[in-house]
Amino acid sequence: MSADGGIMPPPAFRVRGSRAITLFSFLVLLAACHVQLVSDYDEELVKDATEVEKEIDALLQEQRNPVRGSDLSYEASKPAYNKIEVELHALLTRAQSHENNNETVSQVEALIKTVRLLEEIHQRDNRLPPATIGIQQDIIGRDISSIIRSENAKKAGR
Amino acid sequence: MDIGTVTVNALNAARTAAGATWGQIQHNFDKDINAVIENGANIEILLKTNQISEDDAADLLKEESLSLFILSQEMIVDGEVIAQNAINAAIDVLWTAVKAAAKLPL
Repeated sequence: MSADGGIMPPPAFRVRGSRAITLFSFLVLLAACHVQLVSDYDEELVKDATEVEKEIDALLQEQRNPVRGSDLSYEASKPAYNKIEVELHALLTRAQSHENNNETVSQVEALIKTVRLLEEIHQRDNRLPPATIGIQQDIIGRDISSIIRSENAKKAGR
Repeated sequence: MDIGTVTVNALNAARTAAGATWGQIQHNFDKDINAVIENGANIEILLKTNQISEDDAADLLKEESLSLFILSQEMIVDGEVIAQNAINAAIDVLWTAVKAAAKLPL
């Protein structure tokens, strides 16, 4: 007999009842919980990365194949660097706004460091050494392609 | 910095980290890695022929190193997507089986 005078179920049945509750809770959790290791695909991030790539490429192409009389000095290129820096920060903010997005955030941070190194070389030499421009285009193109491919890979996530 | 050794080590570390999923990763990273190695060799030549300063060479090599890091993050994302899909597929199978056993509507 229980305290309120009712009949207590036998211990074996009670255990089974508690197991059923546990199992039910597990099922509810199971049904609700799909694992998410990476953030959802962000189309805008891909667009923004493509835009930044165009800006950087325009800067480097101008250095590689300037029109006659172009000023290729660092000072003359500063507005372009400032525009790129602003766009890169917008890209970083966008990446940081998603959960489970550490890798993309790290990629964009590394890209920002790369562009700052490019700017440092330009500032130090006042003109980008012509022989390095192809290498810079290759590095930055590869970096941004990798960021876009990483984002596209998330489309396959379910 | 021996960029060739660093690159090969980075690639091997990524392969180890990806484990069994490495074969399922679609992108051919070898092409990118080879480009990094080639650039590293070109930077050395530019330095030896005085076309760039030591500081410029050092900065370019830092950029290559950052590029490798970016590629390594891509490999991690690829591996995570594969793992996520595998786990969620297993959850779906388990859920379907449990619903069937409990005679819940599928």
